[in-house]
Amino acid sequence: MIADKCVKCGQVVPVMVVVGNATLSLFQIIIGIMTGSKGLLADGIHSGTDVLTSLMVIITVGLSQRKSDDKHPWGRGKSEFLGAVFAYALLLYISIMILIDSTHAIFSKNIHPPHAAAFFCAVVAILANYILSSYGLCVGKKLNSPAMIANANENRSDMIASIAVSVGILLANLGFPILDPVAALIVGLMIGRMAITLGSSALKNLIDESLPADKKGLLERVALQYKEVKGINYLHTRRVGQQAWVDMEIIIDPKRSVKEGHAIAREVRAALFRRFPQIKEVTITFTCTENPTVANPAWKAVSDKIQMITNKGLNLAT
Amino acid sequence: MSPEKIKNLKKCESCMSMTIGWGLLANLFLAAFKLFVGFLGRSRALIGSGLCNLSDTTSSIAVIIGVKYSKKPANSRYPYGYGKVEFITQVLISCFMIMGTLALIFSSFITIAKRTFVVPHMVVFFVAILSAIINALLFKFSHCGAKELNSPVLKAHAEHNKIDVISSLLVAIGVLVARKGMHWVDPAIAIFECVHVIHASLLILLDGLKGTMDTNMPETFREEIKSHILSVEGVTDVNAVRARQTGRLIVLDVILQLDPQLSVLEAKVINQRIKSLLRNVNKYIGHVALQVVPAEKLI
Repeated sequence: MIADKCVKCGQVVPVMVVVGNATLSLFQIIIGIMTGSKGLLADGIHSGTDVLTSLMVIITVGLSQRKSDDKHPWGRGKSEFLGAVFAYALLLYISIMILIDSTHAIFSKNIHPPHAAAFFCAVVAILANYILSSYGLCVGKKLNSPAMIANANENRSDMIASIAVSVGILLANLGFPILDPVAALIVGLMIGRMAITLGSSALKNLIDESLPADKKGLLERVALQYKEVKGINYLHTRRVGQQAWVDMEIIIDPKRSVKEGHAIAREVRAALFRRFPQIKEVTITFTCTENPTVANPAWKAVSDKIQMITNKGLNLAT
Repeated sequence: MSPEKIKNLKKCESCMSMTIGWGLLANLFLAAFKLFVGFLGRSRALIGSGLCNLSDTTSSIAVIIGVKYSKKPANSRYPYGYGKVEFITQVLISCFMIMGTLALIFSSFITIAKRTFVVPHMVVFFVAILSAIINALLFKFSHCGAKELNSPVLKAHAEHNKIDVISSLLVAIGVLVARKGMHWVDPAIAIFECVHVIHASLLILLDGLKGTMDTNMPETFREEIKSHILSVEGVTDVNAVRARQTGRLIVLDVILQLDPQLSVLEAKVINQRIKSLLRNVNKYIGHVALQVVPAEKLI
């Protein structure tokens, strides 16, 4: 049983995370520029990336929830991946800029340690990220939402970056000025890693990558529960936005009629929808393993029957 | 058709693939050469013209990468193959082109507004003339091929080459005028070239977006597929046809009606006939899903 408190919290927390990250990012970037701390500036951009990706999700989810029509018979869900590719390409660019800038600073002769105010700002960032991530983890676990848990883990990694930056600023003031740009370099690498891993997963989804093998196994098991289904010829899956599209061919007894085959296919389809709410649509076809060849005497009968039915169809039409 | 005509047509076809290959090489060479000389010779217009050549190669490069990937067979991880790589390449390259061109437009406007002109070097003039000649030759070949083979790809190529001839001549004139004292002409021509590049890149971008978004194939194509399926014996009606592209290949999803009393084996035979018929009329048909529903009228 999910407590009412948790449901309410689940509505508030995502908004809180976006607003909190936006405020934090602005605060860190301004203080970073004022105190001359490259580490804090990079960390501010790191907090800002969450806002950017959230905005991208808000825009593209609206588009992908529109109904499929004649022009887009498979829906517009792929726009979510396109948006993600653009957002992560931008992040990759930003991360490269940070890497170039901090490497430049590390190898320059005179580095000034940042003002002590930067240290306090970094500590505020650690606290803010800790609070945001603990709320997110609590709600995500209670409501069993993988998206929220992923978001909270994002805030955890922000916290680690802020810790690295605060240590860098502190040590820079204690006589190791090089450590501030080194902290910026670490944050830049973290942004780059995120951009590459998430960007490549969006690219894979654009090329119609299949669902993982274990998920496909679950789908197959549901279809094979029916004793009429002798096997599965192929199972193609791909993601369109948050939802999955399934294209499956089941093997049934060759002697059954088309009407029966259709009924079985419809039942399997309904079962898949019942079992997996994430499925948007199932294209299900049926076939059999037997192969009629011209040499096969059975082929003659099949061919004659098709001919007869075609004639019947023509007679009905005229 | 007489054997001589067929022989000529074959010659034309091999000529066509050669024209496209040489066109790509020439455009790449011209782009690199013009960008290099444009920077050294301080001519924004020549840089813009170089970007123009580069944008011509965009779709060719996407096709080459796409063909390379689409040769990889579909596997359990990518059940529909790798064809969509072509669309993604189109989207990414055209975005880069648009960004690069916007930067050049921006800097040209700043130059005109602040009147910080530099006089382009005379070498720019000769490079522009050379480029006009090369593009005129490319135009001659692709225009002839386009007329003989009625190929839309070659027609598009010929059109590009024609624009490149004009743009190179404009750059050459711009250099002469700028050296006579009207310094604003060079950046103004650069802006003109950029507008063309952005237009071309936007078309490629839209094409790529259409492919990645699973846009349906045009109505006429679907009607044609429908009539082919209806021509197969045993098919009573076709309820719906939808088609999407994965690179070169087309994925079809069809709902068709068969007599409910037919056996599954007979339905399979009909389906196999439909598939082989479709693949015979169009060699780009890839995966076909034929959903059979029982026909109501015949009961």
